[in-house]
Formats: sequence, C-alpha cells, structure tokens
Amino acid sequence: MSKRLWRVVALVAVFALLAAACSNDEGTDDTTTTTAATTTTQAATTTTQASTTTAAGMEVATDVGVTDEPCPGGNPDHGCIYLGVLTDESGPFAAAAPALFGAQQAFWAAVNAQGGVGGYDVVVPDSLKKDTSYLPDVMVQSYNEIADDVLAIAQSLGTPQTLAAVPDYDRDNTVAAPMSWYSGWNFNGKDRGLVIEFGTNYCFEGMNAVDWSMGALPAVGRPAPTTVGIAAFPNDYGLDYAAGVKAAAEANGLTVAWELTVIPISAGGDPTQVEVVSAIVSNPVDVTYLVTGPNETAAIVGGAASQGYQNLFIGAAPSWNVGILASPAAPAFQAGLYYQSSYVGGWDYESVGHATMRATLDAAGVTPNDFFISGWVSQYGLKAAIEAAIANGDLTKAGLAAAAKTLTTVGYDGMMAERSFAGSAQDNAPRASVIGQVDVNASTGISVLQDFFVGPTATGWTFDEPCS
Amino acid sequence: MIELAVTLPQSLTRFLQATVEGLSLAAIYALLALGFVIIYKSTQVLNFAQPALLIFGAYMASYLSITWGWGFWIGVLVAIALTAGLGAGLERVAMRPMVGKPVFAAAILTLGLDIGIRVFVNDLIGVNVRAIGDPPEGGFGAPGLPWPQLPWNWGGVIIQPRSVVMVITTGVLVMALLYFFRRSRFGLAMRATAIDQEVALAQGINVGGVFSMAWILGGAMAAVAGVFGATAFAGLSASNAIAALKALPAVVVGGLDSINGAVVGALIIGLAEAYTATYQAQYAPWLGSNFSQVVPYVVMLLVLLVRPYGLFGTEEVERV
Repeated sequence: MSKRLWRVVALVAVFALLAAACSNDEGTDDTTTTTAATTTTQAATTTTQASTTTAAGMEVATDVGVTDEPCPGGNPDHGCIYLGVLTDESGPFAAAAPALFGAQQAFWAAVNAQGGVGGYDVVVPDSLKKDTSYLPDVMVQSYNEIADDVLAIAQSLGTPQTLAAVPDYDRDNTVAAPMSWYSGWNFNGKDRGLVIEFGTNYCFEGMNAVDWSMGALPAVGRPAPTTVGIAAFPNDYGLDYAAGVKAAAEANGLTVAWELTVIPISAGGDPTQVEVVSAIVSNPVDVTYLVTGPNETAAIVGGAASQGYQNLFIGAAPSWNVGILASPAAPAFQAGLYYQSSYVGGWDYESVGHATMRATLDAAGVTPNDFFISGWVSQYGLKAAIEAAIANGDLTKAGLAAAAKTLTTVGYDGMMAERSFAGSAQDNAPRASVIGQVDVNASTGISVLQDFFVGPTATGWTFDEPCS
Repeated sequence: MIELAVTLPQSLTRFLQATVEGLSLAAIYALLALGFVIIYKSTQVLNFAQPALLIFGAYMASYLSITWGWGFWIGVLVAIALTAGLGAGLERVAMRPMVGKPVFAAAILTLGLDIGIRVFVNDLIGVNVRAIGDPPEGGFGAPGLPWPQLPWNWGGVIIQPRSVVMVITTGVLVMALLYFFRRSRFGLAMRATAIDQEVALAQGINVGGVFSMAWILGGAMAAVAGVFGATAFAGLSASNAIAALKALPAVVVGGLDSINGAVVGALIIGLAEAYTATYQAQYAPWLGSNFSQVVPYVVMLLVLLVRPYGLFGTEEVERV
C-alpha cells in the first residue's frame, strides 16, 4: 500500500477518534459562550425605518423583514412578514428538521388563511431556512447570512447553538423561538430577553416525573421507589433534566444510585449501548430516568429487558418516537416498563390547538410524529409578540423585541397553559408537565396517563437560576 | 426466555456475556472490513462509501419488507441485490473514469459519493426509528418472525438469536468468499488483478469486470452488515451508518489487503470494544464513560506503531 493511501487512512481514523472522544464535551455553556464571543460579527445591521399604513388601517413602523408588498401567493391586500429558520439538516437532528419546519410553515399558513396578523401575512420561506449542522459556529454564521432579511427567527434549534447566537440576536434586536427546553431561557442573563421559549423546561419536567412516580408506582402494584438512576446525554438536555431528577429525588428521600453518560448513537455511540445496559442490569434501581433519543431508548430498554430486567424506565420527551413500537424492542415497551414525561400532550391530545394542528397537517398528508407538535406549538409566542408589536405601532426589530419582553399573556389554544413573559422566572416559568404511557392505538404511540400537573418539588422550587 | 439449567460463576458469566457481545460486533465489522478489503485489493482504492452502501441496503430491506410487505427474507435478498447493483453502478459511472488517476483522488471521490448517498437515504429514513422486518408478531402489523425472538439463557449468559444468526452467517459468507477467490475462475482473475493490473490485462483478464465484481461484493457485504445492525433493539436510523467507520480500525489492524486479516481484525476490535464496555468502569474508571467507543482506534494506533501494514498486510517494498 502506498504511503499516500496510508495518510488518507490515518486522517480518517484520527477524525473518527476525535469525533468519538469529543462527543462527551458537547454542548457545555462555557464552551459555547466562548464560541459565541469569538464568532460574533461586529458589523451592525443596517436598517432603514419606514412607516406603513396596514390593511387594518394602523400606522406601523417597520424596518427589517417586513414589506408593504404581499407575500408571494399571499393576500394581495396584506404586507408580508418574513421569518427565518436556523435548523439542523445535516447533523444529529437532520431527520427532525423537515417535520419541525413543515409544522411551522403550516402554522403560519393557517394563521394567514384566517386573516393574517394585523394586516400582514407571515411566511417562513425555504430561502430563509439555513442549515446549521447543529454547530454553534455555523449557527452564528447562518444567522448573519439572513439577519438583514428577517424580522425574527421562527426556529433557533439547539441550546448551545442558540446560546452562541444570542449576542448577535442582541446586536440586532432579533427575537427567536428556540427549539430547546433549556431552563436558562427563563433568564435574561442567558437569552437577553430575546428567546421566546415554549413549554415547561427539562428541569421541571424531570422533577415532576420523580414526584409522579412516588404515588403512581404503588398504584400499579409496584413498591414506592427508594432508588433511582439516570442515563443521560452529556449535553444541556441531559444535564438539565438530570438536575431536576436529582432535586426531586433529594426532596423525596430517594437515593440516586448512579448517573450514566449515554453517547448519542449519531455521535458515534454504541448502537447496542452494551455498557449502559450492563451497568443498569448489574445495579438495578426502582426507576431509571432516560434522557436520551429514541434509538438509545430502544437499545437500553430492549437490551435490559432481554436480560430479564423488569424495573421501570421513565423517559424525557425527546426519548421517544412511535417507531420504537415497530422495533425489536417493542415487547419491553408494551409490557409496561416505560413511561414518558413531556411538556405537551401527544398528537391525539384533546385541545383546540391540537385539533387545528391535526386538521391542517392531516390535510397536508403527513404521518403524525411528535416533531410536528413541537414545530407547531413553538410559534404561538412569536405570533403573540408580532400581534403586540403591531398593536404598539412598532414592528421594527427593536419594537418586536420590546413587545416580546413585556408579553403578559400568551395562549396556546389549550395545547399548554397560558403564560406571561413579563416579570421574573420564579413567577412566570411554566412548571406543569404530563405523563404518558405506551399505547399502540395512539397516533404517536403514547397516550396521556396523567394530565398536566405540577409536583410538590417543582411547586416549591425557587427558580432564581438555571438548573444546569 | 429459553433457559438452560446450568449455573456458572458470576465472573465467568460476565466474561462470556461480553464475549457474546463482542462476537456480535465482530460479525458486523468483519462484513464491512471484507468489503473494504475486496475493493482495495482489486482497485487499489479505499472505498469510503461503505457507510452509504450499508445504510442504503438496510433502508431498502426495511422498505421492501415492511412498507411493501414483501416479508423479511425476500426484502433482504432483494435489498442485497439492489445494493450490489448500486455498487456496480457507482464503480462504472464514478470510479471507472478514475482508473489511472491518483488513488488519493479516487478515495476522496468515494467520500463524496458517501455524503451524497447518505443525505439522500437519510431523508428517506425520516424521523422515526424503522424496523427491518423482524419485530414480534402483532407489533404494528409485523409480517412474521424470521428467526426466534426469545433469547437463550445459558447459565446466566443471555444469547440473542440475532447474535447467533449474525456469527453463523458471517462465517458462511467468509468461507464462501475464500472458496470463490481460491477455486472459481473469476476469483482467480480477481487475485491476478490484485497482484498486477497491467499483467492481468495483458493475459486477457477482464479487469473492468473485476472492478465491477469487487464493488458488487463490497455492496452486498455492506447490505448484509446493514441488515444485521438494524436488527438490534435500536432499529434502523441514519446513525447506523457510523458502524461502517468503526470497521476501519478492523481493516487497518488486519491489513488492508488481507481477507484473513479483515476477519481477525474485526474479531480483535469487536472483542476489545465489548470487554472494555464490560470491565473498564470497574478496573479503569478514571478513563471516563464510554471509553469503549475509543478503544477500536486506540488498538488501531497501537498496531500501526508495531506493524505499520497491519497484522496480515503485505509490506510494500519501494525502490529508491
């Protein structure tokens, strides 16, 4: 073999080694803050403020991402508001990107069909969707490519990525809807008041899951838990949820027997999760909390059950998708070993918002999955902010940012409880979550077992800083 | 669970359990490593498109057996044929024009093919975990059981039927390949081409056909490995393609131009990974979680330091 070929082999091998080794450090805040600091573009957005009389007869100031001309194919009497999307089309969430984006486009299409917002149609065009590859640096770069063309960001996917972009959002007064449930979004120190989060964060979701198990396990004939374990991704998602579980475990007098790091399969983790399964089976606990993705959940629960493990698992919302019920791991899930916590009810949940979403997306012929729900419900906060900005007569970026920071009522058509963005996190952060059970008849494989509730740990928690 | 009334010491049970896991991994790595080696021996090109062939084969098997309802066996066989055909097509359209060009450029071209195909297939796979067609009866309209689903419990050692099937199938395929190369006319032609392409051409061997056959075999092997990977509890997702990259250390350890080396390298890497996953937390916790995922590359680097051409690779002598 030639030396040149050996160099190619060595290069690829070293790359793979680095990818595997570095996956443990993914997503720490410190790292991303540094990244953001080094990649922030200094040039401020050049804007020209204009004033427009909308179809609704209001005088509204505008600058970036808003035109008097109608949206392509939109209502000819309306102006147009352009939103951007920073998503992951080539990284670990690439498979989710089409559903998230599709749901957001469908949401605004439904809004436009019902008359738009204050004389404007709102669109999320393909041309303003950027692939970040789930990389903070690329996120910042991608944002700056569309910063002068959008009023706001309809999807800012990922916690480390959004944290990296926040300085640039702040520079431009750009409001963003995150696709992330990080507890830091409730604090201006992290998001500068520009990130309009939706749903209960991972931390409170974890607390509620533990509190629920204290009463629910005896109700299904199992002893009340005394020991718990946590198997989590080593990123903001895993750390935040695990922090909630540990807080609630302490409050309930439970022992956290172990915490296992689960490397995502997409980041080079073991597809069979032998190490995690071995650790769980050799050190059984009453409840294992899974803060992983669906593939890892299937591998861990299926692998443990195949070795005779019969204790319970409770997964965080992103740990599940319906495909698990068609996998070889299905018997373990159908045997009642798994429950699911979530910030929102599944596809079949009864609410006005769910019904509208189902009708809209069913008409588009989509196959139900949970990413559509996340994409859809993420836009309510942005819609409320745009409505407030128009009502204030200031639809500039600064006007929208000011409106977003003082929103007192954001409704979600019953998909989640109303909330406010004005005031402190202690007062305004949502704390309620649901618990689901495996249901082969449910569209997304999970039906709600326990409707929205706030456990005693979350109720009494002083939320004056992010959980992780 | 089918249990055998034997009691083994716990330490032995643990060791045997790790061995079973390691052999399962080795079966997948061996098939992928064989694909790398066969294509390299015949064309002198390291085919970095193996992950794409793997995920394409697995997806086609899933699509044909589940979506089209052809059943597992037909779905898998057709998927293997389609993947072999894709391999032949890639060779004829993209790689054949690269004959005579620097092998470095050809290898980089395979990287491009890998990215292109995987982006396309990943989009087809979508957001849900996909089954390959062997779920339990009744689970979302599963077509049936291609092999037993219940694991065997042999004195505390849990053996999944898929592990047995994987090891046996890989063994049969390796034997068949060895027979093909040593006894068949075309196999001899491939060996001759591997030794010297120009001399083989001068002897009337259809070197282009040999190139095609190498990619056909490589594609078929990748498809089988993809199907094996997708029968795990985690099912099929875009992430499964990463397994092909983990076969690279097996190839390097065994020697890039050795069929036997590919199998031995796969065994070494698979077992090293499984033993590390089982024992590292107990004996070397300071290495941190999931060190088993790094072990294949550590083994590869150690072997490269001692034997730069791998355990069974041919040492190249260059006149200077």
